[in-house]
Order: sequence, then structure tokens, then C-alpha cells
Amino acid sequence: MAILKNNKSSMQIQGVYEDPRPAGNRIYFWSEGFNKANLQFVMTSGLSHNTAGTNLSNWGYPSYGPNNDWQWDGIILTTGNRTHVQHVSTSNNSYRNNLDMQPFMSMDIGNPVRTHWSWEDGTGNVCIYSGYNQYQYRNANPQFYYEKRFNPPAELDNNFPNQVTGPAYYNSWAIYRNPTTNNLIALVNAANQDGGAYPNNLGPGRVTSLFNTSTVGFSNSTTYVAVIFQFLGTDPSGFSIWLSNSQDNDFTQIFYRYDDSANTLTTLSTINATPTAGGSSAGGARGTAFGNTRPKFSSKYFTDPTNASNRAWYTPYLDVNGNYVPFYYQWTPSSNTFTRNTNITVNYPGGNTQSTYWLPDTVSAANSQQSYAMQTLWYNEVFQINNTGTRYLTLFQLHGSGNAYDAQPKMRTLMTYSVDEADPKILTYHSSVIIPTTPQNIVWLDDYRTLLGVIAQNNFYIYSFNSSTGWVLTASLPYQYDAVGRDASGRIWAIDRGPALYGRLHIITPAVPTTVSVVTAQNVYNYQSVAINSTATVNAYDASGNRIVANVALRCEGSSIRIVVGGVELTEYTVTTSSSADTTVNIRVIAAGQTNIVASVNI
Amino acid sequence: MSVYTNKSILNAEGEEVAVKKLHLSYNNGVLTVSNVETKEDGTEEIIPAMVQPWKCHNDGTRSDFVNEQDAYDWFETVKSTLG
Repeated sequence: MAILKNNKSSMQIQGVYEDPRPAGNRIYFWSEGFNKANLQFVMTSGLSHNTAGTNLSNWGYPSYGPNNDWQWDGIILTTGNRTHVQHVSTSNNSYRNNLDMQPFMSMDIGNPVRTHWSWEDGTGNVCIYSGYNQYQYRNANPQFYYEKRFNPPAELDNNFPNQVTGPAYYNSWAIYRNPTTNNLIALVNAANQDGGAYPNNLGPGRVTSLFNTSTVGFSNSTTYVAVIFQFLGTDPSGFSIWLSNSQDNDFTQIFYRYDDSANTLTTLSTINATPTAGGSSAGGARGTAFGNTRPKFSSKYFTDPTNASNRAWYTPYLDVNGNYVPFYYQWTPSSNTFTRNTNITVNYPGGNTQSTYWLPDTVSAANSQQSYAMQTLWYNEVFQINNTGTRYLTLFQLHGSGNAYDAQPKMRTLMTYSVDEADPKILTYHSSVIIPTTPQNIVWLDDYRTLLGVIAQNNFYIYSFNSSTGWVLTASLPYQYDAVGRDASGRIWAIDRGPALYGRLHIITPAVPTTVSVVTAQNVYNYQSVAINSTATVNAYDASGNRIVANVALRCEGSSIRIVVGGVELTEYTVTTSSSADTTVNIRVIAAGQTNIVASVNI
Repeated sequence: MSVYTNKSILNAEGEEVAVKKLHLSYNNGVLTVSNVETKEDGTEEIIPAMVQPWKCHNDGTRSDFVNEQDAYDWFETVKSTLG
């Protein structure tokens, strides 16, 4: 991890903006241009988000403070995935720390939520769409913007875009562009939330006529209360398919097809029968003894191992006894039919049960009718190591307050199960890990979802998954990150408040060490007026916990130890570590007393 | 043929805060549900919002509408989940 920049301006503009074009060579930090590849400052570069370069404001709000309830503090617009977290309140029941839904909105790996788009329309024009969704809830100001740059030159900062605002109160997350209609399909939160529940009035919508006009249109059929929407994918026609999942119970799921040409919905399937007992599931409806009403987000879909024509996924469900026995869903795209399997078996070792490791949130009052309904959620996700072999399923329970689960280790435990290769309805407990403090939100740090970032109130935890021990904590970064995201090359960026309170930029990339260890051969040396020659091993580790090559600068702070190179005693020395073995340096104890060997890495 | 129906919009306390007027029409086995918006001159604009060629059952299956009335009756049973 390295701190790259302290922002000392109150300009309301995003902290990181990556040129989304594959050939684009700029990344902008608070509008200043840098070479995307080597991060060198480009003195002639400055990005504008408005026609004729006026009015830099209203494009992200990196200013911090209690007046910014409605906006994310610190904005990262990269072409990879990103997650934002509000830190303006630690109250258990407050809309001010509702959770960013971006990590969960799309179940389609090929169509994640995006802030950036670039494409050609077939006539040579290139249009850059860059919408960002500000924070949610009841602000009468338009809640999202998008901009268009026609025929952009080599660098985006050489011209000005048109900026278009959405309707008041609306919020939007763009996910998919229909190649037939050219419409940009988004999940839309289309209502004034004032005094009501959040999220409310979620539903699919569209941005039309990207190349001709600035029209913004939305499906106006939906004012769904107390449901979560996820983009499921597309059917053979190219239209988008959506899953709506009730917050008020765990067993009502409805599927829609959105015709973005006509701006109409068709209900494909409604599945809301109370589950019967089967497998290890007792079926039924859990009561609030096992948590209040709750947003629930399903996993990404994958090819159904029992029928390659189907797609499948897991949807969180707790049975009448409060046990996690997720639904196994199957989707046949050719007919847009859906099958819910409720007879799931979850095996635990010995006499253990789920409650041995995990408990549902019973400390939060959040429910679907409240403005802070998105303060907590359940989310389960599938992944495979290197995208092959055993499939795993991890259950997340998150809370935006940053402290609600601090006294409840079982509520901040990640549960992971392995999926039976022949029968995906059989799950076996694999591992569990307790997050040190309340997990507020997560961000996936690799494409296979085996490197996980957990954003907490005062730390950012990085976990790497392995088949033996499951999720392993590989780094703890003691910062209160407002946003963490990845760019096109996989670099990980983060923004925290910083000393100037206007944002501070961090890079947490696999090539940058998150941990450096320096271990002397002995813990204690008994110096008796005779120099003692010894060694120290130096290693640098990346976010996954892998040993990497890095130039580590060592500095002896104290008078009792020196680094010895070629027989010469040094107080400072830079050593290059190895990716395959310990790197050894010679040291010499030359006096009594304590010396600290301080290690640092130059990026 | 077509009919109108109303949908109550509730606040967080479950109180009715507005009534949304919807237009239902049926043609060749397909139910179309439209929002009804009143323009400044008092005329109504019908904006299609849902095109439904079947009715859905709570086990995930679906079947054709028997007739126009069947379509309208089905919509009445599900409109609470819609705006």
C-alpha cells in the first residue's frame, strides 16, 4: 500500500477518474491528468466535466462532513468494480450509513455495474458515458449525471463533454447496453425517499438515444416496495432479465423481462410459496427472532452442473429455525422459466451446527419500511479457485454502522461452504473466519472473487482464499476508506479522508507490498563487549499474502545494530526481496541497547 | 375492451398517500397494463408499462389467460406488488 496524493481542494469532483477507453492513456486524480501506465504527472492535462469547462462542481463530493449525508465522500470512477462506504455516522439505526449496493446489483459476471462506458456506434463516433450515482435518499437535487463526449480526441482532457442530469430524487446504476436498441439499461431508484423506506421504487430503466439526444427515460411501471432488484442477465433476445427479492420474507422472488425498446415489463415468473421441509431445510418462514426484514442478494449465476443449458445460482434463505439453507435456482434462458430448489442439505462437521459459528443479526432494528433499510444485508456469493474445480459459497452479513457487530463475533463471521460437484443442492461446511470488527461492505479485488476486501470503520481487511483454510487475513490497513476500486489493469485504489479532509489517495495493488517482515535470527542478543554477527530475513508480501520482489529500504534506528554489507557497517541499506525464498541480510550487534530496524518500500 | 383500476400508494406506516390510476386492456391473449397520466389540459395519456402474455402462479409456473376477465382478475391479485 502506498499513499500517492493528498487532495487539498474542496472541488466537488471525483478523486479517481480512469479513461474508460481501452487505448486511453490517462487517469485523473481530482481532475489532474496522469499517465495511466506509469502514473507520471502530465502537466498539460486537466479534465473538465462540463461544456466549455465551466462549473466543475456537482460531480462527486469529496468534501467531508456532516452536511454530506446525501453523497459519497470520496469518489472512485474506475472501469473495474468499486465500493463506497459512508462514515458520517456510526449509529445503529441511521440512513446515514446505508450500504452501497453496487457489489451486489448484477448477477452477470459479464455485465457488472459500471460508471464508465465507451463504444462506437458504427459510424466512427465514440461516446463516453460516465454516470455516477451519488448517495441515495431524499435529496431534491438530481442524484445522478452522465456525460457524453463525441469524437473524443486522443485524451479526454482535450475537449469538453455535455453533462446531463437525471430527474430529482432519482438514482441510477448503469449495468448493460442493449446492442440492438443501443439503450443503456440501469437499475433505477425512482422516487422521493423523503420520510419513507430505502430502497424504494427500485426497478429497471433505460437511458435512450445516447448518440442523438439527451433523453433520459425510465420504466415507469414500478414502484415496488420492500424488494431488492438484481440484474440477472440477458435472454436470447438481448433484453434484460431481473430478479426481485422481497425484503419482508425470504421466499418471495419475482422475475421480470424488461423490453427497453417499448419500456415495458413482463412478469416471467412469481415464486412465493412458503418452502416445505426438504434436505436439511425445515422450510417455512423465519420469524424476526432470526433477524428483521432484510435485503438479500443472490450470487452470480453460473452454468448449472446438472444441465449445461441452464444457469444457476444461490439465493439466501433462512428456514423457520433460522438456519441458512439457500435456494438453488435454475434458469432456462431459452424459455425464461425458473425452478427454485428448496431441498438443500447443509452439512456441518461432528455435532456442530450453524450456530456453532454464525448467528443472524438480531441487534439491528432496520426493517424494510425504514429509511435505513439498507443498513444491513445478507449476500451469498460463489467462486472457484482459478475459476475451476470445487465451487465455494460464502455467506456475508454486513452492517453499515461500523460497530453494530463488534460485540457479536458470530454476526461478523464469514461462512464458507463447498458445493458438491455432482449435486449442487448439497453444501458442506468448509471454513469460517471472524472479521476483526463489523464488516461494513466488501469489494472484490480479483476477477475470480478469491481476493476479498472488507471495509470496516477503521480498517481495510484483505482476505485471500485457499482450499485448505478458506479465507485468510493477509493484510490489515489502518485507514477509514470511503471507496475502494479496481482499474482496468487490476490496480486497486482507495480514498480516505486524509489530513486535509478533502481526500487522500492510496494504491493497494498486487505488485505493491501490503506487508514487509524483517526477522532477526535471534529475538535477543547478549552483547558482552564483543561484536555479534548475525542475520535477518526480509520478505515482502502482496495483498494475497504471496511473497513478492520489492526494494525494501532498511534503516537502523538505534546504536546497537548495524547492517553489514561487504564488511562495512551501515545504518541504511536497500535490499531486493525474492518472490521464492527468504532474503537474508547480515547484521552485527555492536553495542548494548535497543535498535529498531525500520523497513519502507519505494514505489 | 379495457378497464381502469386503482392502486393505493402507501407510506412507510402503511397509510394511503396517493392513488395511482392504471389502465388495463386485453388483446389476443395479452394483458397490457398502462399508467394513466393526466396532462395539463386535462386529457389523459396512457403509457404502457407491463405487457403480460400469461399469468404467473406462486410455484413459478405460468398459464395462458382464459379470457379477458381472467386477465383482469389475475392482475388484481398481483397489483399490490406493483405501483
